[in-house]
Amino acid sequence: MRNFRIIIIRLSSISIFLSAWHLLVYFNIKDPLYFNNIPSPIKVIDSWKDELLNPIYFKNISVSLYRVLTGIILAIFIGFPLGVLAGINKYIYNCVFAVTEIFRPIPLLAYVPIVAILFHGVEGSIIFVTFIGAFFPILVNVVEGMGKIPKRLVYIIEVNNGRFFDKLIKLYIPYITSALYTGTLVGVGASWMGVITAETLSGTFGIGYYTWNAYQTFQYEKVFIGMFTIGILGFFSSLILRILKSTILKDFFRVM
Amino acid sequence: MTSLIIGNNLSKKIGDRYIFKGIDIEINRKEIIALMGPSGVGKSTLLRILCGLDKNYEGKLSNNFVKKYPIGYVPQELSLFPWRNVRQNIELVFELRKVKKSQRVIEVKRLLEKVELLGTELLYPEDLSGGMKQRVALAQVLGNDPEIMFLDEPFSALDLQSRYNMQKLLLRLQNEIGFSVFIITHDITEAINISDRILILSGGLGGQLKIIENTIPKLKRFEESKHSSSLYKQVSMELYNSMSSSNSL
Repeated sequence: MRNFRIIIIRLSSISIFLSAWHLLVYFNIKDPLYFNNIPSPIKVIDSWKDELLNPIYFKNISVSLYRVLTGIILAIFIGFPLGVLAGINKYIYNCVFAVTEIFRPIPLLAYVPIVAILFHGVEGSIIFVTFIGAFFPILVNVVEGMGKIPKRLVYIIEVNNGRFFDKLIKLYIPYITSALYTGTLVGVGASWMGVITAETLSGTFGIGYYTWNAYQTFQYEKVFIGMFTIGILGFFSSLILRILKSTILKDFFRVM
Repeated sequence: MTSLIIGNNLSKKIGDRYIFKGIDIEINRKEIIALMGPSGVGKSTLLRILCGLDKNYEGKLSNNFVKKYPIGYVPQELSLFPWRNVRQNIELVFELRKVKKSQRVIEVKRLLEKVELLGTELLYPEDLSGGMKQRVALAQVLGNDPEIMFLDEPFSALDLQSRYNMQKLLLRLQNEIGFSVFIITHDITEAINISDRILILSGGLGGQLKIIENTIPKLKRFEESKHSSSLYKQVSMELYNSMSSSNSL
């Protein structure tokens, strides 16, 4: 019953949003915002129905998906072990954070010109931006997670003659899985923002490029399609992570 | 009595300040020792030095005991791994000892039987009561076949009845298996119920260690506490005076 109520509330909220949008366009509101060129929701939906039969639309989605997935996987493979080592050893921590704390606050957009010079092709530079978007949240969360490991659990392994590898496999990795999950959840959102930005500026395919190209060719319905497609892709990316959390990773989120 | 651990002139310094200084201590085979004292005098630190977890101390600890023989350690806050169920938490010790999976299954069942927790294998720590968690922690520690069990206020979070039951369980296991116990407690009743010797670590500038022999016969200790005999009162008063003088330093 409770779930049904939640669904009704959510559907009602979406309906109110669509109705408000439709009315603002219908009445051609010009002040304080200019709705003259904004297409109505019905036009967007009609245009979207056509796009769903267009293979180029799905190619753009798959290209962006590939870039985000590659960036996130790289971020996990580099950020996770680096975070574990930085959490264990204060010298590694100081080395890593001396550099990363300078680069972490830099907006993803600011990386685009430099990576365009650094990488031979467009693909590498876009994937680098998605990597950076996910890398810092993962690294910071893993290091923070390592700092929270209770000493008493380390003692249990030490007192039973466990070595570093035992601590790594039986304690560190399981304990910080929840921190890695949080970092990845944040990183996924940042990677999507990064890929759209990078594709907008330098791509030839991808949903970011699709959206920007639609704007430049005055196809405003497609601008909205691009935006909502990005939103849906981001939503499903987070949903997959949440499903992983409640199934395969369920035990790692248990508390005492 | 055979000495398992002898500590001479043990001192622990943090920064410029000594927490305790010049402590002589001896733990014998099959002995139960309770360590008491005001908060902050270094009881947990002394325990960690004795069981080899803290190597940053002054003084001498005999024979590198903890390198040769298996020990058990139950910290003040519970040491169960939340993502492992009861069976897996007990299995952890056997995994660290590289025991084969088939043997682990047998050992875990044996230990669960000893701590009266058969049937809880698939439960997780979050599903257990305080007393059950302590039993699992004991079973985990027993998996190492310890010569000495180091327990840091293991029953402090339990209600009176559960504490009483855990004390009886600990005594039964100690009697069956024959390990020594070094237990930190704030509870005078608990110290009298289970220990052969009570050590009181006082505070102030470098601690002093007072030793009180528990003269109440082992079989009468739980009985004595119920009847509040003169013997029990005498021991209680001695402890209370020692604690008061520790607090006033």
